[in-house]
Amino acid sequence: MDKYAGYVTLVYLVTFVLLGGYLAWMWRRLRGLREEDRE
Amino acid sequence: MRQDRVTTLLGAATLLALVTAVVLGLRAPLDVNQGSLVRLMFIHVPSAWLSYLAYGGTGLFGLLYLLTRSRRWDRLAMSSAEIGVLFTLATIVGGMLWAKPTWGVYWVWDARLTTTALSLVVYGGYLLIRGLIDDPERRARVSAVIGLVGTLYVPINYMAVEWWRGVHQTQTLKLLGKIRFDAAPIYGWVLLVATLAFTLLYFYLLRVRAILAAREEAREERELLEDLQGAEVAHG
Repeated sequence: MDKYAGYVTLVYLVTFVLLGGYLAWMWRRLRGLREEDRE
Repeated sequence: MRQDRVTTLLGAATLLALVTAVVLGLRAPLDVNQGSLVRLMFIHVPSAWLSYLAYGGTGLFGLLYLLTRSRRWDRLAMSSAEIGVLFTLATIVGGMLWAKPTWGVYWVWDARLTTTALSLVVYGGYLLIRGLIDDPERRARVSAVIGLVGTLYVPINYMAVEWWRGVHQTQTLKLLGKIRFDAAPIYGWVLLVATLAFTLLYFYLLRVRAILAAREEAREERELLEDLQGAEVAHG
């Protein structure tokens, strides 16, 4: 690693945080729908 | 049940591929000019590729909707556009963080950057318009046309670095004419693994988002039917 390591880490982090957020949003909505169907 | 097993298997394969891509990407040898910044290529380029794939998918599914009028294609087109917007955002943020140490600024109105930003307007508009039209058939028809026209973005954005030379480098992987990769072969292999991982990711996200859209649509139709039945009873 060199002086740019911070930028590299940040870009990987931002990409996977965005991906994780989108997946979490979808899973939450899917679970919500499943629970509504059960009621 | 069978559907869920396919989704789970696809998710597991995607996760494995992504972990492999990240490990290889973060362990790739440093470049003589870019230093560790070269490792951004293995996330920035696959993110951009995924957005191309997603916008191409939006156009293709839109076309299939217009040909068959099956709502399944409309749900896939919408899902694909949403995924495209997400990864365009990742591409832009990643690109800005790459630009700062190499160009000295986060943003310039270079042709590639400008057309990428414009895609957010086109596909953000696509998703916005969908939200404004209540009639599902009309919504699907209008969206399909926008999605098809929007697909023009992909070749324009890809060629922007050739047609209007700016600060953004030209393609490292030349696909037109004689195919060639203008970097060390090891980078080419890592990029290939990362691109395959992101391709799998596209199909996984598309599948999960389309399942969600189908369930939401089924619920909306059920609620509409219940409202209609309620109104009929009230009118006696």
